[in-house]
Amino acid sequence: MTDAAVAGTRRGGAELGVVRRERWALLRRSPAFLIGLGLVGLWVAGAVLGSWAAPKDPQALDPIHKHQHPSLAHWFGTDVLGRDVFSRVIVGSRSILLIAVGATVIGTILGTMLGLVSGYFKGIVDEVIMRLVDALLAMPVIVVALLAIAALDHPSNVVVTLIIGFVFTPIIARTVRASVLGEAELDYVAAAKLRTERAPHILFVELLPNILPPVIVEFTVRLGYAIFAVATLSFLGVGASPDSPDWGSQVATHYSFINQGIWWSSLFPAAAIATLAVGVNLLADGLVEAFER
Amino acid sequence: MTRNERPATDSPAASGPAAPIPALRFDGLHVAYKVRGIDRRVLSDVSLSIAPGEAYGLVGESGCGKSTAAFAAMRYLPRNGSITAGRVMFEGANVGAMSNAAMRELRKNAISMVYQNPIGALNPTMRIGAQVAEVFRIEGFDRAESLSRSEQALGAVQIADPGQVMRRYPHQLSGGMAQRVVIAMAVATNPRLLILDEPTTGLDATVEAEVLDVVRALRTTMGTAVLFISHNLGVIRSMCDRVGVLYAGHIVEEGETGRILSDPRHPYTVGLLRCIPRAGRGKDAVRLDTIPGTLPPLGADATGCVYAPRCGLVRDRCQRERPPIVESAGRHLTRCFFPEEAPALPRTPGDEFAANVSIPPITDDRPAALVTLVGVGKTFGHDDLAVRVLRDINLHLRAGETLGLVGESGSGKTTLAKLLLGLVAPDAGSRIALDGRQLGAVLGDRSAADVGAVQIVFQNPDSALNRRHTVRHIVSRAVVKLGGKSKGEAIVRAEILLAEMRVDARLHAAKPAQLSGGLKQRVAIARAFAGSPRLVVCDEPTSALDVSVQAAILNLLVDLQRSEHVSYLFISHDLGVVRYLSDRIAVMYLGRIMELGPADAVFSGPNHPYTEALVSSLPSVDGEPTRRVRLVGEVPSVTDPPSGCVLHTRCPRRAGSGVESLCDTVEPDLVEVEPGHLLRCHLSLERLREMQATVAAVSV
Repeated sequence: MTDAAVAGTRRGGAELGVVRRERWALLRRSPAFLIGLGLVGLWVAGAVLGSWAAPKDPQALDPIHKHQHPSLAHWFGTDVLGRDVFSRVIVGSRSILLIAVGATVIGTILGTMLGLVSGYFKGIVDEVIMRLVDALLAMPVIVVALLAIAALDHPSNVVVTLIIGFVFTPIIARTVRASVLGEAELDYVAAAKLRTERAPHILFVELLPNILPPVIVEFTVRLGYAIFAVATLSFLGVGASPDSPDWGSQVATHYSFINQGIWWSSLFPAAAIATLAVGVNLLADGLVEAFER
Repeated sequence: MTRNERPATDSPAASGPAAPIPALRFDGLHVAYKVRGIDRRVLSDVSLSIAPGEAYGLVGESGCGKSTAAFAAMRYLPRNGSITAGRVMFEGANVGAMSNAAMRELRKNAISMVYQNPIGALNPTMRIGAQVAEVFRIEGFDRAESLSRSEQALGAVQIADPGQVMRRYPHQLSGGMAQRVVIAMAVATNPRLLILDEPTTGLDATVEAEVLDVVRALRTTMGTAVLFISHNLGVIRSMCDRVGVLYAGHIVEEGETGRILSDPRHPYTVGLLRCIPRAGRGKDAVRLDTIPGTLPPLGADATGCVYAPRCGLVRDRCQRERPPIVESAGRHLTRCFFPEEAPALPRTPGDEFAANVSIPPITDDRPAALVTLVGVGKTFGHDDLAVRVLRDINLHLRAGETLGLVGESGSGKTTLAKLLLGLVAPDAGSRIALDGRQLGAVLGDRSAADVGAVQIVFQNPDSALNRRHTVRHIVSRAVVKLGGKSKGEAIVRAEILLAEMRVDARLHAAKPAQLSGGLKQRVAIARAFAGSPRLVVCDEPTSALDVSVQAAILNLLVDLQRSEHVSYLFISHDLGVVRYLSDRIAVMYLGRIMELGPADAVFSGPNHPYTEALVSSLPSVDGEPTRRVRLVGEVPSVTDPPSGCVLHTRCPRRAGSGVESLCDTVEPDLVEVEPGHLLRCHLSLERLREMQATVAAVSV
């Protein structure tokens, strides 16, 4: 603070390479980030390996052995149709991860574009985009998604992904816009104008690389919410087909048995949702700490 | 020539047997910061002593450890910092050994500190009155008493209407006013030691002068010892009894301020003083010296003298042994083996490429104007909310000429630059012409050639260079867009440009963050010159740089002007720099040009009362008697400029001029009072000459 007039230009100041290395050092020492990485890594492995990692066939019906307690043969017990809950939980990670990641990617890309345009051009463009964003933000995410899905007859996973992506767009647009507003005031943007650069170049070549850190953080935070959104929608019975080993629909199918003491067939998928969401949020916390210092 | 060697831990000031206990004393202080697990030393064997009531200056370039010294004195080092050896003594008591409660008592009423950024030092959610009163509440006064004492305290720092200021929030204060509030809080408890860390950096020269006056006055009334930290040797000269020169964490020279600055005995001090542009020596008369090399990296531990790698007088012994700090010629302390040779330090007139380019003869048949501004104005907002930040600016700039643009912040300098560049559109009716052709109002209306012809070097190179792009990309992209070259050709041209700016080829693939401030500014200059510009706006291009780096950049700009025959519009609040570089100077106040003329005429006077005040607020390293004309009060708001002459509310020459009523009601025109010298004042040149002669005589 003391040499502020010269601090920015202080010798040996924050070198970019050093900053990156320090970020990694910080992340490696951050318990939140490491635990998050472990949890998410576990589920990503499950999603990638799929039925190959599952000890049993997740779809094999065995009505005779339905509602079995967790045991050595069935670690998480069996469900109402005698299917192995453990195998279904592992295989179920794929759809939730695909939809959540896909939706977040779509939301981040669209939101970043809108935020860049809004924050850079300002004026009437900004007004229009931001009022639309405000209007969308005023509606609850799940209700919007449900309405949109209800309007369509047979919502596939792709449709669910797109809808969640659209619902997240305004939130990300707003974050990006805030970063762009500050960034666009910097002299290098004026310097770009002073060499006759056009707006797309300024937006994507000059500004975008500089606002990536907050975008990455926002992506991770949104991913956590996307997981909940996907799980909620499949619990409510939209998106995934009822017999697919989807976590949300597993909970939906089995939660009524809890009263009869059959807790495992709904609790384990629910715990899976929780661990994935917690893992992603821990990752996000670690990133926030490393990037926003 | 007796050299009196003493142990380094011996305090230099406490020499007499009856010397009083020093207010602050560092005994062989070593401070290190732990960075990535390794202790990096920032202060090495620093010993100094400040007597009660004495003002001690600590100078040095950024990264030398000045602020660390201040924090060590307050026992307020950052968490990763620690004192690894030595002691800090406050009035004979070891600060390091004090309990937290004792330390709290000390900070409460014995030691105060003022930082550089006053707005940051005030709580934005509290009214000024409540904040100042808090100091007295902690002292144990009741609410009413605290408030009335606060009012007195604010009055003591020359705040005209304390009651009104107390009702305001920090963001409603100007920087100078806020700093005065901070100083009022710092001295409220009559501290025995006041630490000022760059208290006026970032303030306008006129405001700086006022703040320094306040500190000086407080010192005489209260007898407070002062540790004054600054990079500005002129400020140190005007404020301090003794000075210590800090280089890479070592005190390299210490003694009485006047002596050190007029007869330095350490090559670093000698070099530092030579970097500063001096009065009466313009760019055509003298080249500025620079200090070659850079500060050693944090925590580097050399075996020999820390300054040896950059010293022009280095010998074998300097590389092998570390010189102790010794008394040189019985006068002051110097950490050098050969202090008597220091004045003979070889001159280093820069290492720039064009040092041998001949100076184009300056002839009287002046070249035609390159840029002409006629009736240029700028109004922000509409109707009732209209704010005229520039009005009726008429100017011209010749090819190869430098026009200096000075004035306090808010005078419209930067807005004028933006209009020239086409970043902001001027009001209708304004005419900005290049070579007699009218330029488009905004960039979109200008041809690529016209855009390339008017370029800028920004103040802050950190903000001016995209931190995600490489140096090579930044410059070559400008060549592509402005020079109309293919990418391959542009890269070749960029490398040539960068070489001319003395940016090492190794650094072309680097990103800006890997460069020092001076190098970044060189890259920014290379970019500005990519399209063969005719006019380059230099917006405070060296204000973020240390003086030695500033000198190199100024030399580079001068060389480029000679080889490229480019014109500069040079904006700066540093009048010394403007004087060095400018052929002509325009002085702006509240969006108007108050004075315009040849640099010498504007500086030496007779000049406009406003210019006079600006010039006399400049603290000089040479300690010449400066005329003491002060502008009183705050700059009026541009939203509501004063009637008549806009300066009349603050004019140092209005009172007793006999034309007061004219000043208050009629705005004077900008008229040519002598060839090429224009003034906007009701007083005649003769009248001003008379008035200014008497004051100059008084102050001698």
